[in-house]
Amino acid sequence: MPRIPRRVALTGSLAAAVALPLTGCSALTPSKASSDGDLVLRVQGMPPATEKPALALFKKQVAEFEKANPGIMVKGSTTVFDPLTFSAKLSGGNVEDVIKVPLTEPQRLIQQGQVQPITGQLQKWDHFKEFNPQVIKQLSSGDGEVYGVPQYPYAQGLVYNRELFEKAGLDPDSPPTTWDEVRAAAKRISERTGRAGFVHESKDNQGGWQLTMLTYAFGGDLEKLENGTYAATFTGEPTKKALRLLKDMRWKDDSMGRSQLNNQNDVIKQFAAGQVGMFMGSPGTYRLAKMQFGMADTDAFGVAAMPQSGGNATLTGGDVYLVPKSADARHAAAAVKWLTFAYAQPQYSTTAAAQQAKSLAEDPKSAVGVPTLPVFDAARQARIDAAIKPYANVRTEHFEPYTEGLAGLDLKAEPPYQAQRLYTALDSVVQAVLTKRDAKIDALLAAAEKDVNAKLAADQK
Amino acid sequence: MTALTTFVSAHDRRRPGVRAAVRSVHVLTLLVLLLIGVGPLYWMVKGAVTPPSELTTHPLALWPDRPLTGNFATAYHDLGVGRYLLNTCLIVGGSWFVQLFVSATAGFALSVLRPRFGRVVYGAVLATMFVPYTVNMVSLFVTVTDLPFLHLNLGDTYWAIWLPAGTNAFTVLLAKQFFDALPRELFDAARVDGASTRQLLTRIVLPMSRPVLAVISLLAIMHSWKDFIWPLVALTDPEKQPISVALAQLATQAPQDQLIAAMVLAVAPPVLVFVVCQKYLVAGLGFTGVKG
Amino acid sequence: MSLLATEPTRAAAVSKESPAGPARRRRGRAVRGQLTAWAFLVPALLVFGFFAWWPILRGLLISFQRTNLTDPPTWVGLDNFRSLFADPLLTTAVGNTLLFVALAVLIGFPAPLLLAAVISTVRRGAGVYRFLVYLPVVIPPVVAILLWKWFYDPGSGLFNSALGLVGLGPYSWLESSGSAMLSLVLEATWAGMGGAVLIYLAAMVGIPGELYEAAEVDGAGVRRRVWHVLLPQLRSVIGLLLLVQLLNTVQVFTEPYVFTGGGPESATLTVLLLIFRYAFQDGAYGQAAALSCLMVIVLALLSAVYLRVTRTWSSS
Repeated sequence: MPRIPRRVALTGSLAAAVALPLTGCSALTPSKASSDGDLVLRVQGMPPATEKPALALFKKQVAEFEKANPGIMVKGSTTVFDPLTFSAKLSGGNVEDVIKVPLTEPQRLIQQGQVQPITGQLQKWDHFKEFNPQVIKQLSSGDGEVYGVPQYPYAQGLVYNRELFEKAGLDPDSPPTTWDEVRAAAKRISERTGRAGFVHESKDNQGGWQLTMLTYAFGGDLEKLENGTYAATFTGEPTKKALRLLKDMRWKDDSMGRSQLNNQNDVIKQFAAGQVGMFMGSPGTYRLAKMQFGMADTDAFGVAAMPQSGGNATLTGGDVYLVPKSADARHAAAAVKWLTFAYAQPQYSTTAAAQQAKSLAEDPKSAVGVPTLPVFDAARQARIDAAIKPYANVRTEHFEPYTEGLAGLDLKAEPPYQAQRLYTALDSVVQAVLTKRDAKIDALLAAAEKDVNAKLAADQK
Repeated sequence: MTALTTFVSAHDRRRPGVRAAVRSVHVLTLLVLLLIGVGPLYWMVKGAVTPPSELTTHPLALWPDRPLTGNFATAYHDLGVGRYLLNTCLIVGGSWFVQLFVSATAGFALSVLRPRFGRVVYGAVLATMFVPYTVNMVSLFVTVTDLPFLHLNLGDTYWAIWLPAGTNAFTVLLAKQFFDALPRELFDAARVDGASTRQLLTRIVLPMSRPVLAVISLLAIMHSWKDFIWPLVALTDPEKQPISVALAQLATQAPQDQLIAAMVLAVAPPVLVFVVCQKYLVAGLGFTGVKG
Repeated sequence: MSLLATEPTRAAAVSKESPAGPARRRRGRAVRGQLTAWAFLVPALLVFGFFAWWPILRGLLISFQRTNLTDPPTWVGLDNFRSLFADPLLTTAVGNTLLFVALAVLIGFPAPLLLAAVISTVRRGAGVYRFLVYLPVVIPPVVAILLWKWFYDPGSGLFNSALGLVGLGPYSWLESSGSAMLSLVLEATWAGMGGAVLIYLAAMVGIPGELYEAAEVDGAGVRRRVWHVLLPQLRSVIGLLLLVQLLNTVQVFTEPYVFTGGGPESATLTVLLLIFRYAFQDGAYGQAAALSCLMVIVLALLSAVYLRVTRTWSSS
């Protein structure tokens, strides 16, 4: 601490004369040891106050970690990843020592050298080699260095409101498996209940993200690698088919509800209020619906595997915890300790998982037993699931259409290069289709592809 | 205050036709103003106590059947509105102080002390009026995250808001022009009495300049209370953000009724201040509003 | 601003005639005087140096550089400008911004003038009118926008529900590229009108009553008094406010950012939002700075006109 006042004095008589409380000052030198020699580790991933059970668990974990690792103080941050401001914060250099980003981001961050490899440290953990290679690949560089620890990996499915299904005379135990069936069900729901049959996201890059899922389900791809450079391929037939489906549902069937400019949170918020029949989402949206948006009737939450129309594939995703370049060696070492303790171990060890589940389940507002993709292999995941089962407070049978259907699907990652850029461009295509009756799908896609490719080409120069 | 002569004269008003017309225009205007002034505020309060299901099923109900009162507490504690309001106060307070301090000292130096090349400095200050900080936010951000020479990173600290708040050329101009108008004989007399330069400022100039200090304060406080884009860029840590930035994030992260309750809490302080001090504020704002 | 500024300027002209003598009497004292004077300028010099002058220069530099803020920047000449002009979104954003400005002037300009004219004729309770008209200005912009976003909601929003009662709509407001910008302008007008009304009112108070009386004696009716006395007397205030409005609306950001995020289909993507996206979404700081530079030039021209008008107004 003694250095700080001198630095401030350097900024001149102003700072000295201003004599404001130096509250803003404590953060001037992030990632430095506090006065009594403790190392302060700033980590993202602390749940917001609205998610009380999860926050309580986080605090408990922190206390246990600090007890097991004297000399390290963990300071949680609720900062959530936002592609709009994230690179600003990262370049600002005052980012935490552990950051939490969605699975789209690690590749870009690794390429831009904004995060640091943690392979050496992580290898000290006994089960390092058992990570699911499909998942770990997405957070490793080409030369095999690993950069992070994954959490709750998921595959997209179709979330649906079982109650609205029943009201519309549909069977909630056999949800749609093809997109034609989705269309028919959506039409029926909106006719019989007056609620939105199916809602598609269109804002904050999530329109492009959801169109990617649809494209995969129709058997297409949105990016290709040719001669070592990546290029967008928006004009494939599957993407066009997907958009034609949306167009028909929106304008012919009028089954997509009134409001069209939604991001994921908007959709889940409406779903939690019982206003939405179906949307593309993972089982993890259950947590948001229940804990953040206070869904009262959680028995109505149902989720099926992604319906297919020729693709037999679904999009995967998840959260990853990374260590930014700005953390020095001591902090990076402490960060990996924390990652192992808080995320790797509880997803591997049945006792740790059971303990976590138990403490979460103490609050009836928590969500325990939501299925995830295996972080390690399938056998390990089965053991974890079994260990959690006694504490599960979700209706596991309502997740069965998902887990059963998922087995037969290919799991595809997001577009590997600059996915967010593709999504931005596709957002406005989706918006056009959903808000303009006479939107020209082919022309829109061609124009978006051209724009994005100009940008991708410039970036790969 | 005697009645002002306007384009409708006293003579006009004596004619029944005109009088009726004028009166009905007045009443109509009053109704419209009530609708657009108080209406939205009322609707916001109503929305904050209405259960989300009722919000969608009976959107036009004037008051919910079973009003909720818990939303305000939820918004204040769980959504963190209390902390965001405190953050806003810190930001506003610091920005106000810096702006007043810089404007007063600079105005004093340029107007009363008049150092050599002072006019050059004044010109350079005024020139910044041509480059609004919003347009310049990218390079301001780059600068704030790595101050030249000092290599300090002010990002995610309140200094990143407070210090740039001082760069308001308009308030420097206001201060200087006001000080210019003060009688110089007073300063000379004070000098003869042995007053130091600092005492000249604090004992003579400032006490005589209350009106302009009030206007500068009003401008500074209004601006920093309403500012959105710069805190959005400079403060990414949710723990430090002001209410305006936090609300934009909460908009999609909170249930509708809680969000509206949070909005009511955010509106309450400025509206209350306005209601209490409106006599003084409306008079002052007539001048300051130009700066928008 | 000049309402306040006029009087001091006049007085300043008087005070300049008496030279600042005593400081020059002795050289030592003069030097010390200079030092003290500069010492009082230090806060302004530091603050303006770090947070105004340097960023302006730096912005110019970055527009010719490629930088990710972590590695040292490299010079790329006009590359940033080239990729800026190659981006079709630039035309969209400029067009959208002009549309916003045009609509804001069209709707937001006559409304406060009209309101002020009506309020100026109110004899009892004018304070209530003023209070009500200024109330929306007090609401923080983000709250106002979120409130209107709720009103605009195509499903359960106030507007569509109310209009539905009289058989109109439903309208898509923010959700169609045709009406999104108009919806933004309506909110912005509501939120910003109060300030202009108060300024017009202040100016109207300043119009000498004799002018009206003379016109009335000449047989001018109410309408002609408005047309031949009120409006000509307000000419300079009107010009001034028009320019202020132009300057402010060209920089529109919060409305599109919070309302629509630039959508639908980029219909509300404004120049400032594009700058923000380049920098903080794409990390293309150079390109963002290049666009900022172009915008500064436009704004500087507008501001120059503004200052000119202010000056002629204060002297007239």
